[in-house]
Amino acid sequence: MDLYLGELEQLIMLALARLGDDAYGVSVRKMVADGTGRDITLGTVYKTLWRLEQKKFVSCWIADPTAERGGRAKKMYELTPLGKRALQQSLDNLRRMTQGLSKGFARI
Amino acid sequence: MMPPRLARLLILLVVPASERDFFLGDLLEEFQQRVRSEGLRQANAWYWQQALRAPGWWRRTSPEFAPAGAELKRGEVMQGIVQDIRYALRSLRKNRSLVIFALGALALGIGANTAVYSVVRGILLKPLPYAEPERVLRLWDSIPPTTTVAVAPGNFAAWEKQNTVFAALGAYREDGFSLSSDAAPERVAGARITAGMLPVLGVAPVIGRWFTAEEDRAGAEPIVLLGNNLWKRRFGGDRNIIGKQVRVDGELRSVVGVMPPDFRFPIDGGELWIPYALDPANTDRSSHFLRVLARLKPGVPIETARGEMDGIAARLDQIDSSSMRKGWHVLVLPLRASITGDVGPTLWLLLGTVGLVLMIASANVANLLLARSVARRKEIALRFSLGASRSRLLRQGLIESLMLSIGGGFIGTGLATLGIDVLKNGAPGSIPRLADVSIDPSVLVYTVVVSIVNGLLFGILPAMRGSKLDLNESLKSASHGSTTGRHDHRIGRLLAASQIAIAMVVVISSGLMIRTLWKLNTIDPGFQTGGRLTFGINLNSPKYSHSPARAAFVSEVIDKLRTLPAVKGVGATHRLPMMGNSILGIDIEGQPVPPSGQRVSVVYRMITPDYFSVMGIPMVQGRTFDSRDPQLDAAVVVNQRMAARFWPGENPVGKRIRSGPQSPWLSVVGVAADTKDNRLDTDGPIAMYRPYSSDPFPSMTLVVHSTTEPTAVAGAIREEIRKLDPDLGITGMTPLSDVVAASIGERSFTAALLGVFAGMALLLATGGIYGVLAYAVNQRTREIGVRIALGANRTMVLKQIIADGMRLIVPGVLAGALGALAATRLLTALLFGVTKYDPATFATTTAFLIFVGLLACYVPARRAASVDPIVTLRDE
Repeated sequence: MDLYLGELEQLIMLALARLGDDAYGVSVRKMVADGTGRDITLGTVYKTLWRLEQKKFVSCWIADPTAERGGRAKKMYELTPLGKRALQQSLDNLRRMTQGLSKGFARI
Repeated sequence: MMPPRLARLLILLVVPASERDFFLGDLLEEFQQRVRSEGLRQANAWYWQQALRAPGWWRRTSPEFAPAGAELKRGEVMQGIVQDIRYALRSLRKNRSLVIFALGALALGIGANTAVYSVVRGILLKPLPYAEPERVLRLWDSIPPTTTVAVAPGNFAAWEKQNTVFAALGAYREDGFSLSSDAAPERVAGARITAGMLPVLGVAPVIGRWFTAEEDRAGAEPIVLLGNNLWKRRFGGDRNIIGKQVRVDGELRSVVGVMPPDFRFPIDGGELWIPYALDPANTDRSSHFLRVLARLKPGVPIETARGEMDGIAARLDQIDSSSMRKGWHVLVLPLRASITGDVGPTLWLLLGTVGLVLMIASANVANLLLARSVARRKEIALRFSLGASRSRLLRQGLIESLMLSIGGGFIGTGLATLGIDVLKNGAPGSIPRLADVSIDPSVLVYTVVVSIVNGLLFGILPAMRGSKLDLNESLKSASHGSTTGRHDHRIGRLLAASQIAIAMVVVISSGLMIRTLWKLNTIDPGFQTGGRLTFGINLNSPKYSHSPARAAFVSEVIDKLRTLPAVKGVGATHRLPMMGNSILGIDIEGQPVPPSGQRVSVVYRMITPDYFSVMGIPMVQGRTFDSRDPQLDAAVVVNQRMAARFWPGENPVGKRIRSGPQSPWLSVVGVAADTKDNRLDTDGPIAMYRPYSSDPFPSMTLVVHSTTEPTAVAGAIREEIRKLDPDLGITGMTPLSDVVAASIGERSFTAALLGVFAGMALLLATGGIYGVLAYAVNQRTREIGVRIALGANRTMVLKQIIADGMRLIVPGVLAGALGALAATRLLTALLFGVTKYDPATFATTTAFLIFVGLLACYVPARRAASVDPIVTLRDE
């Protein structure tokens, strides 16, 4: 099984990890925007989540509709154990690759 | 708050059904948050951005979501579109009559829109042809709230010295000049302008130069600037004209510059300018005759300028105790607003009206396409079953309607070009900037956008119907067609009823305007217009610089013209009624002098003694001026309003008035009947008349009363005047009746245009009803045939079809009448003598539309009644 993640996938999975059981389109978009300053569109979030779903890194369930959403249901996402492993591995890779880098990157 | 509907529709179209609900829910949630935190505008913009960027993602990521065919690469998609265009052409070619009708309707609708938009653009939207036109302002002397007059030279000089907000300030006075070089003398409109006008307007001559401040002084070398048109017309576009001498009002002037072709001096049609040579030491603050323009310094807001100018005016008021009136302000307006005036609402109204006409035209085409998509259901079902995707069929339908719309736009632009010429020729002179109206690139962009949006709007419904099908049912029943298509038929009927409703709004509006005109034409202006010819002469040249010379010349002209055959009388005034007013402040003997700033102003006209008899204005009391009267210069004739205002219940003859403490008293010798001095549709002001000889104005308007058609004596008049002074030009030779008509020109013009648009609306809506009913009859031919075969009465069939039509027409008419009640509010300012709810207009229009509707039903009904049962049944 291929556990490698794209950058956007990584960001969105990190957002899921941080959001816990409150992860859905709006909150994920907001988390990424707040954390990185990248104002990605909702379409992008959906696209990425859909791809992660195909890879079995995330799973979803349907939450109750709220009035604020015009009575439409929410699709909530969470990381699967496989997804957690993939994210962990991806972050480890990143850490290894940045270790010992010269001063300019010391903060990593 | 709801997100933009169109954007939501777009999302519905592109996001696959399995994700749609969640996606829309998420978008709505964040949209609501954004409305609260950033406002509706920002939130809407965000929503649109999300919608517009959604499609690409789905297409590329999720093949299983995407509609069939969507996985095509870009090139293949293009190829598909070319294929669709070819297919649409082929299928349209098979429907010649549909194409002709649709193109005709759309060309009318889009053409009318293009023409009216080009007017809106030329007059309201196009920037003025000056450098940074938004910084150019017009300044008036004013005493709020009612008095706004031209600027006194003393004020202009003070503004020039004291202001800190303007980069430049210029003054001018419109004038007519007689230009005589090699060819015959010609009257040319133009202006005397100060040198400061160049930096104000910021337009350089194409050849030569502007004149300098030194040349703008009394005694300087006389020079002249030419307009481009005049240069081409009169001097054949001679590029070596600079330095050549031309004779202007009898004085030789050398040409220093030629202005560019699109240069418009703030009067339309001016084409000759000479330096004003205004005396900077002139402190006269009581004669108001200058028009003043100014250019704001960069970054200075207009409010700052207003504040500073009012400050200057207040200081002047304090210093200058001699001024008769106090409380002067300076009215500062953007030049554009001051030129455009109040034609804006009328133009937008007309644009709205043609928008309605286009809606009717488009509904027609939508109905045709809808009918066709039903007729083609078998073909569509076949294509479906052969694997065509719904989106592909949808796209094909839209391409078809787009092609019709763009084709209609193309023909419409041609129609609009013709229409604009007609419009320009027919428009009254009071409409500003008409010369700037043309089909320029931005008008074309408008036309293209209107065509495309329109094509999509009227195409979406038929395209959707043509791409959604129950396969089995269609293939089975397409040949029978008696039970299917109920739904389509309802949509068609709804469209036709809306057409009637919209047509009703347009026809009622034009009906109200026509009633207005009719009322206006029954108004008595207070003077006779039949057989009266008017024209202006300007005694500007040096030989008339002394007033006795002017007075002598005018009486000579009058005496000479009076001897012409067929001429019954000749009079003169310095200003014709409805051509503007001159105003003077007065005191009344024996009545308290009101506090400063509240002195009474009256309109006055300088006239020759015969003016009243020539104009057919009756004397109510006393007498007119008598040239043998030794007290002639102290005589004044007042109108009835003035008599009633100042001497109610008394005999005004013998009463005295004066224009200020230092002026001599004037005695009232007679009372003349009131006339409409401003416009036909407003009451005349308080007015008085003074003998021309007491203060001979340089520019006079003559009125010649003849027993023939007024224009028949025009040639003889010109000939006589040429004999008296070959250099003198004649301006604006017009029958008096035209002068009166011009005072309501804008209304007549609006009424005429609304009438044309109403005709178009009616024609298109009638076509719409006819189309729907004819189609329905066609669909039911078999049913009707069966009924007749079973013994149904033909009259019954006829009645039934007409009743069917009426069920569509009557609700349409009623809805239209309701809509008109709301819409005619916009017309209120243009109406005269009728209310916006005028029952006569509403009743007549209702009856008329129902009658026209009946006609449209009758033809298909006749056809239905004459159905031959044998033929229809054999067809089965």
